[in-house]
Amino acid sequence: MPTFNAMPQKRNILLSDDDNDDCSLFLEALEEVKCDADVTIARDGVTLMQALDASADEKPEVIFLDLNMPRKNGFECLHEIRKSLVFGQIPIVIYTTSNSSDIIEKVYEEGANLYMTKPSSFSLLKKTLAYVLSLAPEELNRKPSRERFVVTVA
Amino acid sequence: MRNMGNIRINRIRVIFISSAILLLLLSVLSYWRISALHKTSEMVNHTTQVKLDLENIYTSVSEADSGHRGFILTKDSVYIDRFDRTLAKLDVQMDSLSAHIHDNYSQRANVVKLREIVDRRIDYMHYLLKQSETKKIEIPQWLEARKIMGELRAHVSHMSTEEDMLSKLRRRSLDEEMLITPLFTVFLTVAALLVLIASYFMVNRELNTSNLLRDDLEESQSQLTERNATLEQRNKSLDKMNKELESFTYISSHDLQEPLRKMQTFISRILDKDQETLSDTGKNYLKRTQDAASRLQNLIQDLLAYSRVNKEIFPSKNEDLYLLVNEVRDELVDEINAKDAKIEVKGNKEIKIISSQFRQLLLNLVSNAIKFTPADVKPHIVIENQMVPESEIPGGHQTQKSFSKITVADNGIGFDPAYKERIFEVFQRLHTREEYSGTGIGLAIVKKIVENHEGYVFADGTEGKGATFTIYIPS
Repeated sequence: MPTFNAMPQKRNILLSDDDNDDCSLFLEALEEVKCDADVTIARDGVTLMQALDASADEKPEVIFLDLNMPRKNGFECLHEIRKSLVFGQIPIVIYTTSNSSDIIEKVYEEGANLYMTKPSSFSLLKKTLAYVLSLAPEELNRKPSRERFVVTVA
Repeated sequence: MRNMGNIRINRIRVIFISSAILLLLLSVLSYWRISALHKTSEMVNHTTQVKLDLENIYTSVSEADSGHRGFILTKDSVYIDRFDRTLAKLDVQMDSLSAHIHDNYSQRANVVKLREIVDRRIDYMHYLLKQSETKKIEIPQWLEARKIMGELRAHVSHMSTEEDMLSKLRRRSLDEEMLITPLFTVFLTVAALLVLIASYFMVNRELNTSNLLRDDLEESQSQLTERNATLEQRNKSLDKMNKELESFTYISSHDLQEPLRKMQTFISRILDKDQETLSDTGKNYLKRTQDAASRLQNLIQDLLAYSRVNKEIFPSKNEDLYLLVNEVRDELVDEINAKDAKIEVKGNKEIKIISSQFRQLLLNLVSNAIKFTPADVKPHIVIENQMVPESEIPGGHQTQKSFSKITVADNGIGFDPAYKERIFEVFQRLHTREEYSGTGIGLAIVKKIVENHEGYVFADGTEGKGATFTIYIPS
């Protein structure tokens, strides 16, 4: 089980989630796994796209994307990001409550890199986040196989 | 409908055949009448002919008489020639008469007598002719000749009178015939006309009835079409409602999960972070809250799984049941190892199913079987697949369509047969949570999956002696 103790530089993470609690839990978990990260939070799809546009020179290394958001939902954002020439290559981790296979299938086809269901215990959240952030950038960036798309951490 | 049409056609056929027979009978009758008339008129002519014959015979005999007398007196051969010619003529005339009265018995006897008298007279003439060569003819001999002649005269007139009477009778019947035959013909014509009119009306009536029937048929057909359209409409709206309901269940279950998950996360957070400051009761309560929350989560997830069992997405394909059972074994490896369970497969390999759903079905049945086996018993589950005709299925249609019959039998705690129907209902549980965990949705999902396959599922069991689930899927 890798940890972030050895992480050299500050991580640049973009989190898009409309849920306050989930955002704070996310930040707390990051803190507890000792990941020194600069987390930008977008509370809806429109804000997410604006944040991406604004970060042209300092692109986030990974985007955690909730699907169920106001104004512009995660599917639309995913689609737009993948089409973009500027930030189309940023790895996207779907971060959602749903574990429906149709949805998983859909976002896999749309080009998401990983799929992570919001766990129901804090320790599991920490473990899952730790695993995702331990992946090397090129590993995260690769189009995953369908079997390894959904993150499961025991 | 077809049958009634046949009856109708038969009826029209019967009408026509009987009219034809009737008309044929009428023409036979009329022929018979006319030929009777013809015969009667011939009989009348016949009488005249007989009388003429009789007259001719008498005249010929008279001529022969005068001829032979002339010869005897003058010895002139002219007379004897005339006599011979007359005799020849007489023969012909006698034959003609015989022929004409052939059908009349009393006249036939009369003719015999006539011939006898004529012969006697002619013989006497020959006798006198012979005698006249040697001696003179005496007066008494002439008188004898005259007597025979008188006799002949009387007989001819007797026959003539008889023939007259006959003629009178025949003429009367001819008159009757003459009167009756035209009447009869008129009657026949009228009868034929009546038959024609009757058959016209009958055929007309049949046609009207069949037209009415056709109209009825058309009307009921259009009603049926209308009703079908309404039904189709209703089906569509039902389908729509069903879809809405499905998405409603799905969305609400999905949305229910979110606050629940958060509650669970925060509880786990408190239990982690404030481990030291929490009192033991507090910890206990929080643990129990956590249990309840995870049960609620299981319920929601099972409900979601239930609402997701939707048949439109995947088609049925031929699959290998043995492979599916192996997949189920892999999935349940922990439970199987924990209780040292044995899963057997028997019978046909091939089965036509929606594989992802049928795997779920087997998974639910097998995990149930393992779960509902007492701790001190090693679970033994036998899965068997056979082909049966639909007529063998309880409550199935009586067809020979073949079905796969899959039985899943275990040696677990079984159940009271009174619950064999209710066991498949959503949230139906037979045990307390303390005895056996579970949401009560597993068998409801089984039933829904079987219904998606257009199959049948039955549960049989006795308490303490295991349960058998029998599934029929069309193959």
